[in-house]
Amino acid sequence: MKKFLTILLTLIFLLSLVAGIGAAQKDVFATSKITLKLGAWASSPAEKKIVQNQIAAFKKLYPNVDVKITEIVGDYNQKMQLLMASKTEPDIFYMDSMPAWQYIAKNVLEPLDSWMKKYNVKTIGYESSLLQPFIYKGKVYGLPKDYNTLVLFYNKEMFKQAGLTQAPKTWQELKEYAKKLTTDKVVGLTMNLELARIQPFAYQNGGKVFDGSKPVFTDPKALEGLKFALDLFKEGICKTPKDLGAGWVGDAFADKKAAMTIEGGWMIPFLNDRKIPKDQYGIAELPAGPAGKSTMAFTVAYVMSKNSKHKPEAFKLIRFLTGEGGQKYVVEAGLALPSLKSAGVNFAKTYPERKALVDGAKYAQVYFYGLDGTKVVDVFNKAFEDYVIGKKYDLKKNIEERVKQIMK
Amino acid sequence: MWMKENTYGIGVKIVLYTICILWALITLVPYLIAVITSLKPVEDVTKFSVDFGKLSFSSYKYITTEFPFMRWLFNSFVVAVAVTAGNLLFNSMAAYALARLSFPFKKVVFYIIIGTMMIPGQVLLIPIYLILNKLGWIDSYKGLIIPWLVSAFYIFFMRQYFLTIPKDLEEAALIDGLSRFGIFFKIFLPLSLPALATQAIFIFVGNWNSFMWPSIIASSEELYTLPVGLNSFYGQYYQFWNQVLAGAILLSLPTIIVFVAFQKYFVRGIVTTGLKE
Repeated sequence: MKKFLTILLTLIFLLSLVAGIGAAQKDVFATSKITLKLGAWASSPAEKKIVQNQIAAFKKLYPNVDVKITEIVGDYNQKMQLLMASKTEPDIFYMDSMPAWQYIAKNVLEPLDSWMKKYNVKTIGYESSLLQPFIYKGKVYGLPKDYNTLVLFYNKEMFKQAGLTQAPKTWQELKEYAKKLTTDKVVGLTMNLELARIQPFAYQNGGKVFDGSKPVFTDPKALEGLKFALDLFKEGICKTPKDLGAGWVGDAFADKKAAMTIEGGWMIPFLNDRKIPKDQYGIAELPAGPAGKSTMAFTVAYVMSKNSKHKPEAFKLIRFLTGEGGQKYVVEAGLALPSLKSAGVNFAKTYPERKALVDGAKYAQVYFYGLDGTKVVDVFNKAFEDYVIGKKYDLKKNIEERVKQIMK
Repeated sequence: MWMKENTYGIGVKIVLYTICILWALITLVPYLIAVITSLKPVEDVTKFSVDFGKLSFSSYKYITTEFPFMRWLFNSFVVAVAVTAGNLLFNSMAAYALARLSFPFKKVVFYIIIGTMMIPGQVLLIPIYLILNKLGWIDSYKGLIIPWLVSAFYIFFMRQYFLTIPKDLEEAALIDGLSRFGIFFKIFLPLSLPALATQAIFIFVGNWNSFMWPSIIASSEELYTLPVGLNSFYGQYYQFWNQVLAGAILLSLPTIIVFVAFQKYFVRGIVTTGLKE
């Protein structure tokens, strides 16, 4: 499949080159009625509402531009590649941080720098860590629409019963609290056993998993940090939701099977849906390690197709969605965090109890590992599982072996 | 019946029936769990116990009001019925030609049709999509229906069935002045009800449950078929299982009804497939 996709995308690239030579850049803004397509993956009705509101506001500003949402149900990347192969992809569409470089390297996305210059959009306005996955060889290919960070959710009731007054601030406290809170019915901490949750421990220890262009697998400091987190699992004071018989950490936390969990801001709408009162749980930044704070950021950007026939209008739409006008709706909905710094300030004012989420953006690592993201995640996740089950105690050796196997 | 009456004593029968009933129960349990879970309130979904006082149709209400559910149901019906009808007609016609007519390269044509069964569907994704796109059928009922109106396997299946129909019938009809079409519609189709029923069930159910194609072709919400629509319940990070299962139960009902309605023929169809008189 991988090979086939590579061939396919190469073909698309060649075709688009041929097409690109013939096509001259149109630069006149819509004088007659045009339709832009916006590609998005299917998500909750609440999230759909945000985009619909944003588009309605955009149409008020530019009555000549109609925007249609193309919603993609199922495997987004697979279908996007199909749309690209048939040159029917939307003008602008969602792009997750993880596969971004793969698309960019295949030359199917429009570089935005010249448009940004022309329409006066500056990268400085966005949370700086969020742009990294969408910058390739010095060019910007996407502007982040929103993001979310990992925080620590804790059950205030259980904390009170265990004689604890506030969230853990350090590694030592995290371990100590988790031990205290673990009973025969409740586990102190629950989180997924995967790189996307365990990685912050590597950075909190001054280690690295990704150096900005390629993955780093066996940084001694990082391994030490990862081991600290994995040992919590080994000691039985941290469990995966599967071990607790829950669908995901949100269920485990809402059903009072765990006292603490490390998860993203999407927990909040879920807990609201589960009718858990807001004063029953607290939200805190992740405990700091020996080398300081770290967390993960998950972000999605808007990118533009190279084949778009209405590039100036498409860029104006991106600018609106990721600018003051569109980000307002992200703040209002409160599902995810606005990627625009100025809107982030408003978010913290609107939801003071969620300040931890916004604060995390300053020191977050974006979930992204260059061109081979999925493989990197695979290496670490499998090694983590082995370590916790105790099959192979030597984490470093195991990772090295897996790198040889997987990263060809 | 696969068992002749009075072959076994009453004791053996009791044992056999007990085994069958137990097996039926075992296979029904997952479905029952799904039904019960779909009626549970969200906080009880992960609990094993059932609190009968709390069961309600609220999930069903939510998905049928919050989403254009009726529209999706209608789309699914239109597509599945149209595709099934087309398959019954066209597959049978092609099968009749292959079974009874003589024309040049008949063998070659037959093997080419059989050969197409070896091409995996995934390989055809892009070419078919490109063709549909050129025709402007993306995001339309045409695109959802027309590409699936014929199926190589069922042409083969029907041909094998038609071969079992005695030649004398046809010859008598020809002498009496019935046309080819007359023979096909008045003699062959009525005689192949079991095979047609088997085809109808498989194609209807297969089409009813298909997800990949409709999800690629239908990009606007009002053209979704049920499986595509139900898939949009899945959140990026979590889902409420009572709602997902309520959708799944509603999705499964028509296929169960179709199966029960055609079951008589269906069993006969399976038994007689490939039997020479």
